[in-house]
Amino acid sequence: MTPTLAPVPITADGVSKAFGAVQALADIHVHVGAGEFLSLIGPSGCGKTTLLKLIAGLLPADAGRIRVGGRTVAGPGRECSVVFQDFALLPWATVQKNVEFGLALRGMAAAERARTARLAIGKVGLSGFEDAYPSQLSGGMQQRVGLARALAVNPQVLLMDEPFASIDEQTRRLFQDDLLRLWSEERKTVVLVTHSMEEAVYMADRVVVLSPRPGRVHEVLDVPLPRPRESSDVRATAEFARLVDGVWKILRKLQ
Amino acid sequence: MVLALRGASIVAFLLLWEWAARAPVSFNFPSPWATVLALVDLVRSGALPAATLISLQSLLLGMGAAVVVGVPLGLLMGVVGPVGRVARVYLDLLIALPTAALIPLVILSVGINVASSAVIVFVFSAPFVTMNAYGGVRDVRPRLVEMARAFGASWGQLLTRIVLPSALPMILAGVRYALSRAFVGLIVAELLLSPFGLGRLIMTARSMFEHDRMFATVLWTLLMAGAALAGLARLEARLLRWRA
Repeated sequence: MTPTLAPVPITADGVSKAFGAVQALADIHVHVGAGEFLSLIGPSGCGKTTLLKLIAGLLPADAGRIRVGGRTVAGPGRECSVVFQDFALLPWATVQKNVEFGLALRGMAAAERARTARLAIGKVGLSGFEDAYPSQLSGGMQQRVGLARALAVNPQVLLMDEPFASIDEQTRRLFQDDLLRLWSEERKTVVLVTHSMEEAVYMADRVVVLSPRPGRVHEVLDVPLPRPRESSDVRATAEFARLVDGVWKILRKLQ
Repeated sequence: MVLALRGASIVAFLLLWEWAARAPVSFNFPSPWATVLALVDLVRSGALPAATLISLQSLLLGMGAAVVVGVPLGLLMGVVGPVGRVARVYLDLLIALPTAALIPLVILSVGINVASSAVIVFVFSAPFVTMNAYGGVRDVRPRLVEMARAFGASWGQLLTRIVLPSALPMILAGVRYALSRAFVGLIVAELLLSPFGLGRLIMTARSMFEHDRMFATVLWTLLMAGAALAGLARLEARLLRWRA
């Protein structure tokens, strides 16, 4: 088992991206500290997913520079794992094989791969489902597979694109708490794209609000709520309500 | 229910056949029973097993080549757009072409032997393998490609780990259809081109007015094709059990 690597910071410096005539992102400056949990929120079409894909190296930036740790992003790198909104699981592979996917691509030997994957499956609470196919699992469980696959390669950065958007409310809350617990144990740098104001506040150290067309950093909010939040009733506090309301007031003006 | 229907359809077919033999529909039309007797006789004499062995060579050679060439070609056509758009025209022509018309060409270039039957089998089956592999690439979800790329997948890894398994259901359906076409091609080739194997057995029996033996050989070919297709269907179910 490879040791957990220290988290790394992410810096976007004057990043722009256009799709044809549509300017998706313009002159984005964002810094995510090493081990920080950052939420990206904004009206639909503000380019938050595009920014995440730029950080992941899945899309090239038109201008500016993104650095992940010591590397300038020019393509997908080993520091980053991505969790997708629609899970992006291989329908023909079992849970075990899905979680092994990234490890297999990186050439890990079969026995070690199986062991590492089982460990990751245990972390997300899916032990016993190794031989199930994705179609046999609920949405929430499928996303747990997606998270296990992302964690199995031991990334320093976790990039999550609306990971809870297609999961029902109760499952989502449990999953959010599990993610926070995992994050406090493994200390990865996390960028979470979401359209839920509550989720953005509940999960993150800071919330970055993007404005639409072209996407720009409109405002950055600190979330000074104490941690661990997963074991306390943070959602019921006045402070939490005030912070969510703060995000809402900004977003309302942007619509 | 399915079993009962299946049984009933077989009985109905045999009754119809028996009626045709008694009617008589044509001169010397063999009854089912006479055909079975001829079949047993052909197997006992060793004529049928020997002919089957020869025909199977052509079939496996041609069909094997169709899969080995057709699947990669179809995938390439699907993955590299321009290749697909160019090759597609030839493929459409090949499918529309009355393949038997190629036989003189094959005789000229390959000669008359077991390999020339294999060539015909290949021409009959390969276009369908290729076409389905090509179509199967359309079933690849772009999101899965993106996911694999995020994990740093190389070109080859994308092809073997995402594209091929995504296209597999279509590919297997194509192979199954191509196999039935391969049997047609085999008999056509052996009747019209190279006097070997099962085709020759049919020809000889016909020229001697041994219609029961002719029917027996055709029946035998059908049984073989049926068995091969059933085997392929089982393989398909195994490989695609994730879809259950």
